[in-house]
Amino acid sequence: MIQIDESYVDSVAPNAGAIKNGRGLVMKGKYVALNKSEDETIIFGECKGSGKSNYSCSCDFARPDSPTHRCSCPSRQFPCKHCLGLMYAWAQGKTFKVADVPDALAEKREKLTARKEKQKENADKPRKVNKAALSKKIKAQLKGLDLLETLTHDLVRMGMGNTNAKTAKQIEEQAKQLGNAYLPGAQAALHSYTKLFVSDDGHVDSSVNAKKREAVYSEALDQLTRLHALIKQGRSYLNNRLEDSELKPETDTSIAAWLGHAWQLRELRDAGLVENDVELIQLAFNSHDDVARREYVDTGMWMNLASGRIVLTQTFRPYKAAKYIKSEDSFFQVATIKELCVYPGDVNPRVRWEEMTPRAIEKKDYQTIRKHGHADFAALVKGVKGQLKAPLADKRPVYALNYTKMAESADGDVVIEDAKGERLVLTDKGMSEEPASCYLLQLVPKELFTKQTLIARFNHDLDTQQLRVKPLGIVTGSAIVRLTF
Amino acid sequence: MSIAVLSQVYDETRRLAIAGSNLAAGDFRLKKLVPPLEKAGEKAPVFAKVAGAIQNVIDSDTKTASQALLELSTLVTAILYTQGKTGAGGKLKAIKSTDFGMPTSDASARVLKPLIESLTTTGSGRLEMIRDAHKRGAFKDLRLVKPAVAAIDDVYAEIGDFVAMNVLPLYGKAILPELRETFDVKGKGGHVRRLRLMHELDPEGTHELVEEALESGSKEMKVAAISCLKGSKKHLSYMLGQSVAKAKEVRQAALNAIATFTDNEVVDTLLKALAGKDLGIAAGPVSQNRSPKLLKQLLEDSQTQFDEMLSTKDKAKRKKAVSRFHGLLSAFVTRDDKKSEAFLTGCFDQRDAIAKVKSDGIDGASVIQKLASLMVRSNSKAAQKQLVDAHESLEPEVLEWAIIAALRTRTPKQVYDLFAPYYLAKPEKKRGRNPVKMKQEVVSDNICRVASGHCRYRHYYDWDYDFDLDSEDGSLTEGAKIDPRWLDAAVKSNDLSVVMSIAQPKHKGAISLLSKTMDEKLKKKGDSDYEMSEVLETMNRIDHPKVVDYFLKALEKEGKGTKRYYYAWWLVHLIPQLPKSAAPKIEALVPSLNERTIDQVIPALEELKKKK
Repeated sequence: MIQIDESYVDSVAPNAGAIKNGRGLVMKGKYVALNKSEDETIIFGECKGSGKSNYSCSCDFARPDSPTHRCSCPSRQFPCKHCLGLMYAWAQGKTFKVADVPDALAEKREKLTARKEKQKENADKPRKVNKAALSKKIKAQLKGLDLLETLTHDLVRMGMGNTNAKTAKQIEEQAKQLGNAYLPGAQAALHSYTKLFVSDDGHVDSSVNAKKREAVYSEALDQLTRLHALIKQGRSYLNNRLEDSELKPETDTSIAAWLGHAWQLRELRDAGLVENDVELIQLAFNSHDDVARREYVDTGMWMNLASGRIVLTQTFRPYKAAKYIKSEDSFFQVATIKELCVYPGDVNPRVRWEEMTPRAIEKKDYQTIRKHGHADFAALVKGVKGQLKAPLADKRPVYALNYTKMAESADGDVVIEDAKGERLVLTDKGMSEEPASCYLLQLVPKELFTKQTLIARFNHDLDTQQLRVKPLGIVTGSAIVRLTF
Repeated sequence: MSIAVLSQVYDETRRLAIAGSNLAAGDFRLKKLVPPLEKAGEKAPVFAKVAGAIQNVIDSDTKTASQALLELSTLVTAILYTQGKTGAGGKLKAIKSTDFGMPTSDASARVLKPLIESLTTTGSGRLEMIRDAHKRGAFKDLRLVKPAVAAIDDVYAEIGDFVAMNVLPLYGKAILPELRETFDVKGKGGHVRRLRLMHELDPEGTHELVEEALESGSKEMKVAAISCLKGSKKHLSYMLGQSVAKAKEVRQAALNAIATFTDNEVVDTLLKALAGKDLGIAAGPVSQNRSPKLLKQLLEDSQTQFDEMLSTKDKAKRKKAVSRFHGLLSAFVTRDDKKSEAFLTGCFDQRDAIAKVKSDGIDGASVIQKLASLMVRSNSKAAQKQLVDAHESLEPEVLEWAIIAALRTRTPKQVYDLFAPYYLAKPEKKRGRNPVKMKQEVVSDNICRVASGHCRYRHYYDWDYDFDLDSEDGSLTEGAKIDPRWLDAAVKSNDLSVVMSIAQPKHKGAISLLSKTMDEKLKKKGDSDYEMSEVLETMNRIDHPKVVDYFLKALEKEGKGTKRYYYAWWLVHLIPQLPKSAAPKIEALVPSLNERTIDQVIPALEELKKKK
């Protein structure tokens, strides 16, 4: 028996348009047949489209935690509106006739079951690595790093002052070769440099004005240093792997991800980077349009209620494929996760999960967050600085900070103070992924100014040599007041 | 000291990275930094390391310079990352916060994004979205403050006005700095709204800005500034000066601003304006002024014009007198003193003579209408009684005011007894002016209006629906009750529009008349009938036993085939108001309708289903 309700169907839809269209199909009576198998593990039907023949769609719940949707329509959205409509019809209690599963469909189901079983077997088996191919790949990557080095050195030789939109574009053209050399991460890092010289609207043809240029140089130099470190560390890492072909991708540092290794969940599992029975609560969320990289990035910042560690979920939606990738949204419940895969990384590692059940937030959850907050700013700052000095470190880590007082300094900045009188200054400068939030503190009730927990992002400004924090949200005993989105 | 040197090293490194590493070899500024670093290196090895890295850069050639420079920058940046300054010295003071209640932040990003887009971009449909969000209380979210403030400059003026009047006041003084920062005294549109809003939020603190606006603002800005200063004694002399300004809008604003002062200069200024070509803009402010001297002069002038109007034989003079008298009457609005009342009722008594005054433009008939309206607005019982008692002698346009007076001062039963005869009269069919028919319409319109709480949608599409009353007058009969016999009378004379306005549940006559009307409309072939949705709405309001059946039939008629889809709109918007039991029936009907109608029906049906 398939247990789904309409809100479940809403949640699996890729976007709001698909929800509307899926519901519409049911209302319009476009389904000429609504069927279910005898054992009620699959629903299938036929839906009228604009063409001559109907679309055959089916939703297979043989594996209830990860159902399979199939449809003969050409849509790239997944699940397509026909499958969504089929599920809405089921959730709304429409009559489904018991019928034999069509042969073609039955065959696909069998194949899938076989495939899954084989996958399961394979998962248990140690994976065979095609050593020749791997070494060929690593060699290509090393060559790619040589190219990156040439490009970086060219940039340094030419000088940041002479980098303009035109040269930035040329560099990007060449950087495409890095993608071919299995180094998409390195390509992105180079991109982070060139994007500083590209105007906000994403056009490379209008050069950035002088004032803005002056502001980007420190950041640009930091990016160059990062590229330099990436080349150095990447090369030694790859050389090590080349010598020892048994060596797996490194999991202690994020170097593999920097080079662009796309971690598969099974690799993470194999490497033991899995936490079991985890509860995550979302502290902040932002959906940010990365014009230079031409993609949307949905970032959720979550706290692991047991360990207090703040982790990130990230969904990258390139403009070209944005329609087909489910956009994420703010989440206002606690996510209970059986198996959480954690990427290699430092302060705020990226996480992913396949299955999750939500539960309502209780008052004690807020207390838990507050308990995990850092109450000793001096100790934390020391740790953060040690962290930041590594060139490939995450330069904008997020922490929970327990303050005793939030007030205005003599310079007019908002500061937070811990019990020992240690202070941190709040700022919006240099952090453009999220909208400005400092000014919002003039609008909050007074009780938020004493003894609360601030969710904040650290940033070291190289121009002023100041280490400051950007407020993302305030956790009180009964709510999370979100300041960004 | 050593940290300062490191900062210098960083600056030089940055400079070379900007200029290009080709220029790095032998750089003398870097060279100068080596000795102090080496000295510091004796105590802390890290400085010696930096000195070494600098030396490498200095000794490099064009080939190795880039590598050396990158090494140096990596090293020095890493060290500086550990030296970030935190904290802030000095005494802390409390954040000047404006608390507008505990903010909500449970709106998800998917909800916020489109709303913020509405506030910050262009395109159609945005005002609806903003209004809707305001109604739901969504603007209590902190994160919407900035976009809402930005919307004050919206290219679509209605959005700017709506936001300035309804949304931004929610945030209180907290947004003042933002508003002030973006304020341009020479500007129009959004800047004028800013001034008004800032003054509303903080009259004291905005004082200087208002004065600046008076001095050097654009015309619109001046008008806004003057209206901000309404009633300010301090600015009286300025306002008096502005009352003769070149721009009419500025004069009008100035007269309005001084209206309530009774100082001699003010009275003189107002009277002067009243006597000249500014009569039109001065009458309103004069009506608010309670100076006895002004009233005396007003009464004298009015009497003079009245006499002139009735006595003069000269056409041009008469035209002028009628027009001026009519204008002066506006200065009596809301006057409730005995002298004014006596004057108005005295004039009204001479209505036979006034009616004979003919002139192109404003004539005697309009003057009588105006007198009647003022007698009602004066709230005087005696004056209104005089008006009601005179009903038999009144023209249809004036009879309207007699009905309003009756609705305000008599019992529902008395109103019915007095005016039902006009309603039930049988007008003969004739061309041209037909007073019997007009009186009938005047009565039915006013009955409808008193009950207008029931027919909300009416004014959207009934172009003839006009009471010759502006919106302020609608409130004159607020709370008036209607005798139940009106409904019987309306059913008897088959007057659908009145029946729809005042129909009551379980009224057999009304129920059968509505059913009969629907049957006829459903049978009718050809073009669709907008009135149908109105009839259905009435049926729904009075719990007509067959409302759902009729609705389904109507939807079937309008939503099938290739009919233009907008006919169905009137029906679709009724769906959420129908009883919840209608939902499955409508759902069953949906597949047989055409696509465009279904697209409209679906969201409405969802709303109905969600109804409790």
